[in-house]
Amino acid sequence: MSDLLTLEGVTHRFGGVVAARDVSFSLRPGEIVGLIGPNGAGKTTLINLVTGVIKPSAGAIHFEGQRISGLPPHRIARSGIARTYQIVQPFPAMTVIENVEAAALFGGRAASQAEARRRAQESLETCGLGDIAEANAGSLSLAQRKRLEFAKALALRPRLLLLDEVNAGLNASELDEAIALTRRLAAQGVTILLVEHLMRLVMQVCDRILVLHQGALIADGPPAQIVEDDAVIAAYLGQRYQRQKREGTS
Amino acid sequence: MFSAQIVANGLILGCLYASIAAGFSLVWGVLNIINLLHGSFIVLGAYLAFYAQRELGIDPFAFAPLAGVALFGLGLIVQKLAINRVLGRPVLLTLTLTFGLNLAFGDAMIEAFSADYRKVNLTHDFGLLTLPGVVLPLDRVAVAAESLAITALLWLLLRFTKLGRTIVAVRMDGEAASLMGVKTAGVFALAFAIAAFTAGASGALLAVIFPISPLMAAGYLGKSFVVCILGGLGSVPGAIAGGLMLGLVESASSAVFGPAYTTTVSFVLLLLLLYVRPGGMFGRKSFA
Amino acid sequence: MNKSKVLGPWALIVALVLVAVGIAVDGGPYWIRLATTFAMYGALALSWNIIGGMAGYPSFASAAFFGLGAYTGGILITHGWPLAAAVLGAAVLTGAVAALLGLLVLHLRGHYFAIASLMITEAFREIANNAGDLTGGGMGLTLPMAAGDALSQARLFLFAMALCCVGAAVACVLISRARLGVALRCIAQNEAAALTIGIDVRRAKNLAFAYSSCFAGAAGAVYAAWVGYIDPNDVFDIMLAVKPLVMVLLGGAAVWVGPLVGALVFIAFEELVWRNMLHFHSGLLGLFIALLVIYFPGGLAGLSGWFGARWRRLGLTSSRSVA
Repeated sequence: MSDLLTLEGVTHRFGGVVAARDVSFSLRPGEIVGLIGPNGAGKTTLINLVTGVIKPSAGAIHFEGQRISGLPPHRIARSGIARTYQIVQPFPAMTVIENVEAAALFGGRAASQAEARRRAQESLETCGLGDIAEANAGSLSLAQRKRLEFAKALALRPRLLLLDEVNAGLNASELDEAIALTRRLAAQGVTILLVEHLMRLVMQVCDRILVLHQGALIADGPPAQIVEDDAVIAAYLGQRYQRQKREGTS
Repeated sequence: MFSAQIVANGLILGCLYASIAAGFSLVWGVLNIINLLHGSFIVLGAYLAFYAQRELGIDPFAFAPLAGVALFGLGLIVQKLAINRVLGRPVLLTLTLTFGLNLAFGDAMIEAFSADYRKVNLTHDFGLLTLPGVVLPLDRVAVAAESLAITALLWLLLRFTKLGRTIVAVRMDGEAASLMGVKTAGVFALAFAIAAFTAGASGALLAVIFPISPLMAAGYLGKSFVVCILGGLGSVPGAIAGGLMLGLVESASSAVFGPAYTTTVSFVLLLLLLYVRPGGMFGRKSFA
Repeated sequence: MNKSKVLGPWALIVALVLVAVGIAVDGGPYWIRLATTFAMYGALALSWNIIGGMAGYPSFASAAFFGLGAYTGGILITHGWPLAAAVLGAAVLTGAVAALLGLLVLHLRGHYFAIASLMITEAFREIANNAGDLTGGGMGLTLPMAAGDALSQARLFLFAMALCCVGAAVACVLISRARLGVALRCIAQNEAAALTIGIDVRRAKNLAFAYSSCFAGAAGAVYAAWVGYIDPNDVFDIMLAVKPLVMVLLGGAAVWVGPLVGALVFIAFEELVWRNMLHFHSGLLGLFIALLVIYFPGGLAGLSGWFGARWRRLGLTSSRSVA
């Protein structure tokens, strides 16, 4: 099975700051991969690089065998890569379903506005927003807005979904729903890259974890291996976490 | 193209442009408002200087600060009554507001002063400064020097006084400033008024060199805008850099294309610059 | 589903045509002139709505394209082209120029875009002033008189201008309902998100800018033929950029009703108040604009305008923001 997404030696320099430093990794179809690291490590930068918002200063990104680094964001969105934003970005003056329709119509390449509406309806059902389809997007609660981000991303019919801290600010039950949703999507064959700070969630959900520190990839492996990795502990998890793990209290 | 004379002319113009634009840049940078009244403020300063000279015999060099004070008061009034109500609203609204105000203001000036061009006649002839390859009328040199002084004064104010630093803080992060107890509304009003001061004083100095008419307001506004794009927003050194650049460009363009095409040349340059750097020469590289 | 289907844009267009016919047949020269001016304002306001209302880009370039259309139409007519062909030619040329300029200015945001669009107008004016051989320079351009007596000429130009207005209205409706309309609404609310969901933002903005300019250019060409003499200060007047904007602020950006209502209210004010003042009439307009903005209700999302909310309650527009 060939890789879905490949980054080779991807570097991004901006005004003297190296936000991404020679990053190389691959994602295989159907994986749920976590991307963790301290604040400022470059996680959102990587997502922006993959989605075309910024261009790499060096290196290449390939998706399904095609080179996507250098393409404009809308082209990448249309080719099967969807993302959510850390600070949610709805279209505030439109209704919930109109938001998702727009996504289906353009990135999702729906043949007509009617088909876009149908797909939007499906997407909303999957995300549990079906009953507030006609509500104004600007009036939603944070959790609902996060789910709307999800629904919009789904309407793109993505093969790769990049979730940028989509769970921040959710309470315990909302978090459980989010995890269930993520798992459902993966089961449908969507590859997911999950940027997260909540270690518990990452450990539960991810098959594999990538650790970023100051722009560079310092670890790449299954969760059990990552938490024992010295470099990761030094950079991110902290000695206390390791101690707690050993004592079984984390 | 860049003979010494052209450069000298450009630098003199540039000092003047820096001072007329500095206030505009301050308002844009701090209040995020493009004050379309700015050109009219300048022209009003010029008229005040003209009448002061004609009726009271005070020449513009001495009168400039007084013109500034008058405009300071006017600026406070305009800010409190109108500008204050649209802070933070979309560009469309703020721009339309200052457009409407400027329309009314400009028309009022035409009613009051008539559209005829006036000229200040200085009481004594300053003579010429002759250097190798360069001939400079000394009144222009004096104008350049005094406008530079006004600009420098603004810079000192922003940098070294408490008020100035408050203005800068409000610009940087209005929310943080108000959390710290700064009365932002008052600060905005003062910033606007200070900008009006510089406009009035510069206008008075302009009157020495250029003919005065309400019809000139749009031109000065345009130049202020170009200076901001060239030099960056809300920064006095930026206004100076931008002003000097514009002065040099206009001087050279006038020599090459003739004076009729100055706007087109500036515009083309501006478009090219904005294409490459949407945030202006010293601004951010892009909006991303 | 939504009540706008009840009245529908087509009904409005029929109504407009009927009114135009009525005025042409029954009205005297004053009413014909007024109606023609209303149609012109309507065309400008509706065409501005495409870039300013739907896409959210505060353009001040209407005057630039109106003037460009006026000169193009005027020059073509002096070279013997019939009115219809000249107007069409003006519209096409203006659209093409706008598409090109769009590449240069549409990546700018907010203030920068607004001022750049203003400067386009100034630059066009300067060029028209200086390209004497082509445009007559500061002396202006005089067009050959059309055939027929004054009254039938007046009716002809009323129809021509009404056609521009109707064309702009139809364009607004069609664009709003098409994919382009959806794209523009998204761009107006959140350009970054629009890119993320796969909208080709640059292309959409460019199309909006081009379509918007076409109708302004067509109106300009008709204007040139109508008044018979144009000069740079006349047709590149910044007021031609601000007035349409004010009309949309008055009436709201609702696709077909808003700008026309705004144009109607504006022209009523103009005829009743400002024209009667010899002095200070643009000053009064300025104050009017300032007060309008200061007391403008709410934010701009959806641009309901002064009367917008009422239109919604009457069911004349759907609950969608700018549908």
